[in-house]
Amino acid sequence: MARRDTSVPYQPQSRPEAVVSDTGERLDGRGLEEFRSAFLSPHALSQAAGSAYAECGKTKVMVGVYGPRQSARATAFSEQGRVQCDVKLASFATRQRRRFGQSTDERELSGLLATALEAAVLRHTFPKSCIDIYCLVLESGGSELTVAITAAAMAIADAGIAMADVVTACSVSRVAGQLLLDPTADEAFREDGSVLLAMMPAANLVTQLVVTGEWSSAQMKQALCLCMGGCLQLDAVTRKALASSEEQALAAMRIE
Amino acid sequence: MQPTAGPGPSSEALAKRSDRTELQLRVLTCERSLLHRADGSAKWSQGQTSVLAAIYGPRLTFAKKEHPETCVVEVLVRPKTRLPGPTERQTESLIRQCVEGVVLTAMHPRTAILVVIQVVQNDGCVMACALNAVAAALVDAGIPMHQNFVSVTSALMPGASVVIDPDLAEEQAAEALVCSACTTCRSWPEASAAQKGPAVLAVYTRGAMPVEDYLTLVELNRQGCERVAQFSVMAAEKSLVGKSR
Amino acid sequence: MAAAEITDSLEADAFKKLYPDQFYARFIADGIRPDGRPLGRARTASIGLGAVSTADSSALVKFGNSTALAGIKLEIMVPKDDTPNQGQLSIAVEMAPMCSPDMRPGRPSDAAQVLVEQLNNALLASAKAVNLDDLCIDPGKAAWVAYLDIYVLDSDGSLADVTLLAAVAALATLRLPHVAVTDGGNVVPSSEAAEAAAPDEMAVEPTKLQLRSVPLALTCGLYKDQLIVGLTAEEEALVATSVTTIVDDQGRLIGQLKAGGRAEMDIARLQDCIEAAKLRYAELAGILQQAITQYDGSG
Repeated sequence: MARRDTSVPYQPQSRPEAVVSDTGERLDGRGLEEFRSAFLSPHALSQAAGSAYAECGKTKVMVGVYGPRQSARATAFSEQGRVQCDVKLASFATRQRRRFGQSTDERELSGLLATALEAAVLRHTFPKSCIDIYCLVLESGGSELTVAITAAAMAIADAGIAMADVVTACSVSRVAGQLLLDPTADEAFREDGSVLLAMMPAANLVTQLVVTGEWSSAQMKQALCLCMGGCLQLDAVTRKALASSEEQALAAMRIE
Repeated sequence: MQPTAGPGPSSEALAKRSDRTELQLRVLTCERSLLHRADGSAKWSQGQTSVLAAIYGPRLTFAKKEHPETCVVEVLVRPKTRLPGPTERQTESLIRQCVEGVVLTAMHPRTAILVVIQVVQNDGCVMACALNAVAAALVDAGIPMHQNFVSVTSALMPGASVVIDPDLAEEQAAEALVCSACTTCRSWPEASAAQKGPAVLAVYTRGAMPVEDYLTLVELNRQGCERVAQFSVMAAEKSLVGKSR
Repeated sequence: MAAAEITDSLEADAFKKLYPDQFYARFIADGIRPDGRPLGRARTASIGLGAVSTADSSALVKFGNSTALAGIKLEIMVPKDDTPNQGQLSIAVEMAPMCSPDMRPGRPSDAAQVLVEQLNNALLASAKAVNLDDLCIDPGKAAWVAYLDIYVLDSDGSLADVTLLAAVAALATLRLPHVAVTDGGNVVPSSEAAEAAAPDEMAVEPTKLQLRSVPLALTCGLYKDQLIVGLTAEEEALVATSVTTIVDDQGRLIGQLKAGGRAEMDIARLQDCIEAAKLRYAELAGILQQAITQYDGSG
């Protein structure tokens, strides 16, 4: 069996240079401020307490939530429950094959995911315990963290863990001075600045904001408005998906 | 450590075994109580293949690993060279489930039995030799069991001939290998009248073969197991008689 | 009315949690299982091909709740000195931490390693499903290494069956690009190399990987002397012993693994397992072929 460092990837195509045409159309035909079509489905797995599958364009994420349960690691007493996140990208999720162990960017994503969700979960309802959120990115087509945050919030709701509100997330990339909502991997590759916003839409509270690059205050305002609009759109889709899944579960119980 | 079925010495060279017939086992030897720190140990040799097994337990274990009603069995297999990999995990899993099947685990709740297996020499049939070594070591450790088991491997050679207890060269030239473990006595707590005829405790195959040949090999293994069981009982009696003096 | 229904289902759930063995025995005595299947029927399989576009081929397989996703990524390597005509197939299995309450992120679990060994045994050593010569690009200079990574997303029993079918489905839909090795030792698409030489030549379609044998598995268990086919996770915990049988399209037995357990099986029972595996094979092969034809038609 060859060690991984003895093989080289085969990539015949490099990423496209121009991601926005002169008429303001993106590579996949969307407008600058258009969201990708999102498919969200809770209760995707049987073994986990709560789970969700989210697909946004070519980004596919599966999340499973276990808990509240005893923490695997011995931790000090705490009156607030702990939220532990673990994000993993599948080895075939990206253009170049990833190593089969956790890398630094996965650890960073895990930390960011935990920050985005902690504020929404009512942690005082499960003291001394923890909830484990396991996220696996099956295909990475751009904005994995935003899709992961939305899917994880839906999975926590599916698990029946008390939350203040669902969390939805949206990101904006700046490419050649233009702001693109919900960027794909090709677009994110050419960006020179990005804003990621995670918020609780009904409570109108922001749980996380990640900004890279230099932003003027006017552009920042514009980006935030775009993100909030995206989050509200996603919120409607999330609630609808959760409600229909609940109805299905109740209907199945009545038949039995 | 696994028996391999792949390209090897040409079949003409192995057409005839020099020292024994096709259906004859190699010389079996069993030494017990070799290791003083272990609760039980045994070194089992079949011809040039030799495996050392050590049993530690029943003993305390971490609270996370223990089971409130039964004893937990852990197996570690160390190959002769290189680090343990998926092959060793498979062997560990097979041996662990065999041991769990025969040991009265309910007699020692919240404890663990650790089985360590070290391959000393590999001349074919390492899996069978390891199972036999573990069975002998369990007796040496005095672990309560309701059964004991023995194990034998047989091979389907090119040209549709079968041999029992192949050595390494025969294993590599074989088209298929079947390793099976059988129990030494007949009374199982969960056995029923409907179970007629000879039975196997464990079966592990490698290589592709027609179903009829497979069943022939399983039957051949069972007969081989009866002979090995006779030897195993004899060896146990000898070593226990020696201890009581 | 609704309150009475919910109370009944709560009592049944409580009984199942407190006395799982008696709960199961009641069903088996009537000849069915808790999910309504007869004892000899395995769960229906569903196969989704090409779900992941970043992978060179992918297959998502579900047996009831048990789910596995296999993806293959091709990379280039220099063949080893003693096998200059052969590429490589490297199989890895990961039990995603979401698949079962016992899994934790971190080191590969023992169960995953055992599955890797079973897959290696079935695909490479025993059935020789993939001829590694097919993965050669230029003898001695370049060959494909196919990294077959399987993620178990939901662990509800019969994992050996699910992962083997996912691996086979991913391999069956793998297409090797046509490439050529330049003088500098780089591997480029052969259309590029051909353009330099003769710009009028058409681009060559990628070739499909030919499987020499299609092995598929079935796990059966023995519960109170009854043979149960196609186990779920709850059943795997209750049966006295389980047997995994692998057969292929040529009717050969690729493998049979009975890893000990609390009960023996006589040879007649082992034969029953092989017969059940053959019946299951016919069913699965049909579903697989249909999925592949549909995928090839649309792709």
